[in-house]
Amino acid sequence: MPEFLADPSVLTKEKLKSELIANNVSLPGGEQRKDVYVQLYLQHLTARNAPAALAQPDFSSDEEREPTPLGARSRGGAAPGRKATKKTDKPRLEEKDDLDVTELSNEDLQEQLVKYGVTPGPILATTRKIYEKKLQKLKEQGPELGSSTPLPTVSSSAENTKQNGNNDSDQYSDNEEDPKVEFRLEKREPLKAKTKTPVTLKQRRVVEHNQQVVNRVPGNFKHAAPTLSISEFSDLPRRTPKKPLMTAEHFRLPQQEEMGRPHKHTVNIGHTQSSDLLNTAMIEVVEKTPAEERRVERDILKEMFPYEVSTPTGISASCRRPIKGAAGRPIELSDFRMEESFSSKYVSKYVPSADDKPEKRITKKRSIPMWIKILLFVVVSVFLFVVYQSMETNQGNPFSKYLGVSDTDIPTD
Amino acid sequence: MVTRTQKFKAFVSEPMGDKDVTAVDGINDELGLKLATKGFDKAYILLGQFLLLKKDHAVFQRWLKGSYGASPSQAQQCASCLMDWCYAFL
Repeated sequence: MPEFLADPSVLTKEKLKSELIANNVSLPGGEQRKDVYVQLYLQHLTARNAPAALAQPDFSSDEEREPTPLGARSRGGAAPGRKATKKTDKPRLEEKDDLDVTELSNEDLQEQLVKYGVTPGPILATTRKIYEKKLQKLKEQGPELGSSTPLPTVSSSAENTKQNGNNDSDQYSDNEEDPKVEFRLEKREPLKAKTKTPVTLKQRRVVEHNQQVVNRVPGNFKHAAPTLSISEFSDLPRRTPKKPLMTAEHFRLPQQEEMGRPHKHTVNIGHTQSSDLLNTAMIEVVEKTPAEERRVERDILKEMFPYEVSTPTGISASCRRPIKGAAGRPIELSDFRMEESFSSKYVSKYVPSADDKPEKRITKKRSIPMWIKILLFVVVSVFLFVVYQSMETNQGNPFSKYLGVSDTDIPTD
Repeated sequence: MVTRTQKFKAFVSEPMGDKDVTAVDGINDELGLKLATKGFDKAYILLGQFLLLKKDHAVFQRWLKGSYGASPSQAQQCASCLMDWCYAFL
């Protein structure tokens, strides 16, 4: 099927006439001016060529009207129309459009998105609208970019798993109209794409700091710190990192002023290096400006946590500590003390089964070793046994032999 | 108590991170492929669906069985696996 010209006036009148006749367009009787034939040509043939041109104004509307039949026709005409290359890009690219994005089924919508190089997540009722908007945007951008728009291999999304996170994160971070991103609760990719190293280091520092904050016994912020750490744990992966950081900083500064000396002593009981470093870090932080703070923090972080895995994004997923006291979990004092060893231990221990973990935690560190306790128990029991043995069971007056002498000295049990 | 499979334990013992949907207990390769073609190619996306359904075991199982042809046992395993993960980490 020949491509119809967008500008028929390049043809001669005879040519126009023959084209019209060839396509069953009724010619006006007699010899007409060329314009007439041009008009006829335009009306019938160019219209057939690119019906998308007519329907484009209706593109963004959601009503079911002309777009529907035109859309169907364009789909039908798309395949043959693609052959021609010499024309302007417009007709060719428009054929690719399925005009009414809302008309597309979920699968078709997915296919269209994949064509643009986007690997969408599941298209459900909740996500459909977003993907429709995205596709519209891409379509508008597509014709501007020209035919060199990346047409990736239309593979199943299962094969795109590697790209998946990155693509989505780019889309989500760029797309301002995305109200429903938040429902992807556990999505860490956007965070990875967004955050830069200093910020992530800050995050980690705050997170680690809070863990240590909880270690300290002082009561006045013991209840506050766990809540902060909990909220942080939940907030950090999801929201902008700066938000919890600000609250943590506010939190940190007053704490230093309050506690001063006394809490340093309490800290030094259990931990040596890291807490001292932390103290010095805290003092430094108060004095320095926020700009310098970051630099210092980065170095201090390295000192404090040499065991931390350095990942490219600066985030290493560590197992969240189950919330003590919640959901019927018993609170154990020993757990608070064990926290510091956790953060480094989790890095290396990602394989253990869930059942062994609680037992390991318990057996690792005990205030009084088990064997000492057993020994003590044995000693006490032996002592009691000996005492019992030494007690005489015979009925006779035990003091009979003493009666003859005196009966005042012997203490009665 | 139901004895948990190794897969279950492995999934529940740590944050799921970027694991494939086939890492979830109850999701075999076939079911995993079906889910992936519909866009559920990562475990967290399936978790998202689970959470959207308000962590309702029964509804989630129904959804999985109806839309993706999972068997009842598969759906049940999957639901309990995700539920336990949420319990541990959410």
